Formats: sequence, C-alpha cells, structure tokens
Amino acid sequence: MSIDGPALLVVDDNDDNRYTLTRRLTREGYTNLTTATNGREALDLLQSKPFDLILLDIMMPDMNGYEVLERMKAGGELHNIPVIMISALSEIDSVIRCIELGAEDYLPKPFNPTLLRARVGASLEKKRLRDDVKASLARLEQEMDAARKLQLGMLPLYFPACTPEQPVEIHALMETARQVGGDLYDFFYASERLFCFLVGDVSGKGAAAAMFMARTRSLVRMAMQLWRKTSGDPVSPAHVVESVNHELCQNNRDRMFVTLFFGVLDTKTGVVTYINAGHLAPCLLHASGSIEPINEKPAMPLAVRADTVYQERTVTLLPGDAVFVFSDGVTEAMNAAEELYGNERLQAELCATSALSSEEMVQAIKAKVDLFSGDAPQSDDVTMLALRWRPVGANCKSATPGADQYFEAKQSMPLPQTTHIVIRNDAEELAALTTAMERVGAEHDIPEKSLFQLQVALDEMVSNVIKYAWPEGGTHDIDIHITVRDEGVAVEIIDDGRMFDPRDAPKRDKLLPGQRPLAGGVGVQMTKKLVDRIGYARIGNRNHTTLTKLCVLNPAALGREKT
Amino acid sequence: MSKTALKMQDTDTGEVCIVSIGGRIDSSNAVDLLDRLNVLLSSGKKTILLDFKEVLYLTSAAFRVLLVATDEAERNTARIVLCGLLGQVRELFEMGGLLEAFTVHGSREDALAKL
Repeated sequence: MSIDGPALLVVDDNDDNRYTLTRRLTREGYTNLTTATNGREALDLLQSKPFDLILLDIMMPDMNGYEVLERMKAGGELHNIPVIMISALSEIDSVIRCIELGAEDYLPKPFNPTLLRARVGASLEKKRLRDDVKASLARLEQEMDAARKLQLGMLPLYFPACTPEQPVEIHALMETARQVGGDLYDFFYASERLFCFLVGDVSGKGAAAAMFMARTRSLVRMAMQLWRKTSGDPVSPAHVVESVNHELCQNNRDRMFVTLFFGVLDTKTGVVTYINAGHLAPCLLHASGSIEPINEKPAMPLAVRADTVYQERTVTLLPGDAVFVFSDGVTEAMNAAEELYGNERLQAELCATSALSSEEMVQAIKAKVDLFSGDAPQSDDVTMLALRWRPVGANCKSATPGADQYFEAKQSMPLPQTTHIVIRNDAEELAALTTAMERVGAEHDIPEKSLFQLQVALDEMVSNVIKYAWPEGGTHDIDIHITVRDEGVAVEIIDDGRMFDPRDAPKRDKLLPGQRPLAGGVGVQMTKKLVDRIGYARIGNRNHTTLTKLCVLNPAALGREKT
Repeated sequence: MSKTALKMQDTDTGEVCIVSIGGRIDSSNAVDLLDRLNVLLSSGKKTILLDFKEVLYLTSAAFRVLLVATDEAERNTARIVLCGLLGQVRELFEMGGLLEAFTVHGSREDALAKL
C-alpha cells in the first residue's frame, strides 16, 4: 500500500454513480482514488499501476464487469486484487455469477454508507493480511536461500586434479530435497600422503538438520587439524571420529544423529582406513567392472552415545579401483509407482561406469537416478562421492572409454589384466573376437563352460550392435575390453551407434524413439541367462555394454596371489 | 486406516507396561509414538516394553524418537526396553548401527522373563 493510503479503482459507466461513490469514499478517508468508465479502460489502468481494491459495475458498454473479472482471474498478478461488484439489488443472480467468478463481495445500489464502509474495509483488511503473508514467505525464502548458499559453500566444489603426487581422482555432488539439507560430503589431504573423504547424513530434515550438518562438517575438519598440530602420530580416523562424536553429543536433547562414512586413503599403498558410523555401505568398484560393498557391520552413528568406541577397518584398493560413497537419497529415490531405485540397480549401473572417470561416474549415476524417478518429487537429499586411486604408472587423465589413452592406462596397471581389441561393424570380424576370447580363456585358465557361455553371449550382443547400431550404414569401430579378475571375466563393448540399453529388452513392443529393435529379442533374453550381469551406460554418444561372467579361476593363472 | 498406519496398544501387567507397535513408523507419525511414551512416563510407568513384532518398517525418525524417549525415561528413573525385533526391522537397526543403543531382548516372553 502506498503512502497515499490504499489505491482504489472505481469502474462504472454511470457518471452519477462514479461521482457518488468517489465522494463517499473520500468522506471515509480514501483519497487515493482512480475512476474508469468501462472495462477496457479499467484493465488498461490495472496494467499501468498497482491497486488494492476494485469497485466494479456489471453492466457497462465496451467490456462489462464479467469480462473484466474473467481476465483478472485468468492468472498473473491481477488475480490477487480483491473486487467488489456494484449492482442493483434486483441483479442478485448476476452478483452470484460474479462471486463464482472470483469477486470478493458486492455492494448494492443505491449506496448505503455503513455497508460501503464495512465492505471496503473488510476487503482491504483481507488484502493487507494476504500481502503480509506473502511478504513473510518471501522473507523466509530469502533467508533459506542465504542458508542454502552458505551450506553449499561449505562443501568443496573444487576437485583437485589427479597428479603423480596426489594420485586421487575425486568428484562429488549433493542435491538437497529442500532448500537446505542434512547431507554432507567433504574431502581433503590431511598430509602429503593421506587423503580423507567422508559422506554423512543427518537424521531429520530442514533447518535443524542443516545446522547439525554444518556442525559435523566443521568438527571433523577441526579435529583433523588439531590432531595434526598436537600429535606427531599418523592420523587415526577412530580418534577423530570419537572426538567429533563426543562433541556432537553435547546439548543434543533433540537427539539428532548423523551417519558418517569417514575414510582415509594412503595414496602410496592404496589402503583405506575407515570408520562406518551407521552409514550405508559404500561400493568398492574394481577396474574390471566388478563391484562389492564395503560391508562390515556398521558402528553406531555419531551423536548417539558420547562414549562410543569406534573400530578402524581397512580395505585395500588396487590401482584403478574406485570407491563410491552415497547417501540413502540415492537408493531410496522413488519413482511415480513408488518403487525404490534400490541397491541392486545402483550396483548394476555402477558396474557399467567402472571405466569412467570419477566425475563421469557421479554424473552417470545422477542421470540414472533422475531418469528412474522421472517426475516424482525428490524426497531426500542425494549425495554421492566417487574417488579413484591412480598411483604412478597408471594414467591419471580422465579418459573417455574407448580412447587409446584409457586403454594404455589399463595396460599400465599391473592388474586387472585387460585385453583390448577393435573390430569393424562387419559380421566377418566376429571371428577375431572369438580368437581373442579363446586366447584369453587359455591364458587365464577360464573354465570351459563359463568361457563358452560368455562367448555365446558376447557373440549375440556384438552381432546385435553390428546389425542395428548404424542404420545409416558406413564403417564403424567397436571397442571390446576383456578384463579378467579372480572372480570372473568382464567384457565391455563400446560403440558409437544408436542408443540401446539391453536391459530394456522385455519391453520390445514399446520402443522409444532412437532405440533400435532387438535381434529378435530372443538373443538378448538368452544373453541375460548366459551371463551373471549386464551393465549399460550411455556416455556421450557411445553405448557401454558390460557382460560379466562370474567363475572360479585358477589363482596361479592370474599370476598373483589372492588377496 | 491403512494397513501400514502406525498402531499402538498398551497392556499393563502391573510390573511392566507393554506397548505393542504395528505398521510403519516414519517422520509423519513418529511423534505420535513419542507422545504415547511421554504420557506413559509421566503417568509414572517405570518399565515400558516396546514390542516391535508387528512393525513393518521404520525410518531414522523412529530411531530419534526412541532415543529421546530413552533419555526421558532415564530422567524419570524409568527404563524403555525393546523386544520382537525381527527380520527386516532388526536389519534396519543393525544397518543403522543402532542395535547397541538400546536394551533389546528377543521375544516378548524372553523380555518379560528377564524384566
């Protein structure tokens, strides 16, 4: 409302009525008055300046009261301005129609001073309250936005490059369900050699959770710093977590708690020392594409009991191995049918990303989760952190799979052992693939039956690529990486043809635009039975399809001792 | 009322007040459980046995309520004991690392024998 008092617009084609109304309103103390003689003029005025209340006649030439109401209530800012209809008492049906169209009230002609005062006063009061609520909400939103920026500012958004001295490729993201969230991630070098990383999830949501999250994040950082300053000993994750826990337990009558996975990677040896305080088991992703949860029985979350003793555990990474830590917003993402994204789906899709950089991995999974949830609203914060250990000797560049440098990176790693072949999109090239598979099979002593099943499956998938991936024809390369680890064999097929996710095969009658039809469908179904896992990711313009066959290999043939 | 809605029923044996909980405990109804427990504590109940046998699912909101209620019980020199944690519900306690945060007995009969 302006300093001239509430702005009123009087719309009536009758000069006497306008005169009487404005005079009476002035007498009531309303001086900020504007008049219009028809609907069109009124709408023009409404566009040109803000009003707090409109007194509107129904029957007027050149756009009547109904039309003005309809236009105003159709949307936009005008929607919120209250309208009082002016009408003769005999026009009660018209008044009802106007109320139905969104008018606030009506004023019978001839004008009664008491009714005029009461109705104008009430409408203006309601408008003022609505405006106040809106202003408060806007203020609150501004506050929350500021809080959000502050919170996101606490999370590192700069991801240090992977170098021979700091051989960790790291990426993370957090997306909050509300303006502020209760998830957190952090990472930093605690010394030249030790790389710390953590993901946490505070119970509850909203501002309280966000503040608890901020407290946790700062305490971990401070505890690490103090430890380094005051103790000559190597960092002990358990001690750090214990002191943070102790501090979080103070003044915690609301009983907030936070689950935390806190890991310290020794970048020289690949040993990760970790504490899992009630957090979801992260995934250890081997360079071959196989995956396992880092699944010890989790300890108690932080802030539950001040005297909790945390046990350190360790897991050893091989060069090129990755760790994926996440919050339950990932696995509990829900689609419209109220199905959960789930751990199995996550693991399968992580397998397909095993060849990617940490950043690509995080983005691929994010895209998969988004695709899965569709339009369903995000109910929980989503946090993911991926790190890959690439010690000297391994290529540190983020590589697009299929690129030569990536292959070299894999080759330069002592393990897993990868064979890479490139074939053209010609069915006659399949023989080269068979030869390569037989060679790998013999070298690694792969059980005959497993090798045979994998070969048949591979033949199906690659034939499918050759047949359907490039409808426009032409010569194209298909990259095939065969990786052998002690738990089995993974074969990754990479092509730049049309998008095709073999896991969608059952829905073959509902092909999406851009999807290619299946080789009879039977082929893919059979492939699914022949191998233990089919992974898929569309990265850039390439399909990455991974077939994994689990089998027991002769450890001697792998050329190293089993870990 | 839906099949998964939170249900609570008290039975007082004199020594022990048993609360049978059923359905799903989540952030929308966890506070109802807390209110119930607070009423029992302030009415002077000293031993409250929560039977989770019929619970289908619980979220971290439920854990928080249990922790808050346990604190309140301590302040009243009372105690809250859990029993009937089975299958998936027990796994949720384990996965959350929270099994050790409470006094937990096996079945209701086991619990009553020990209390």
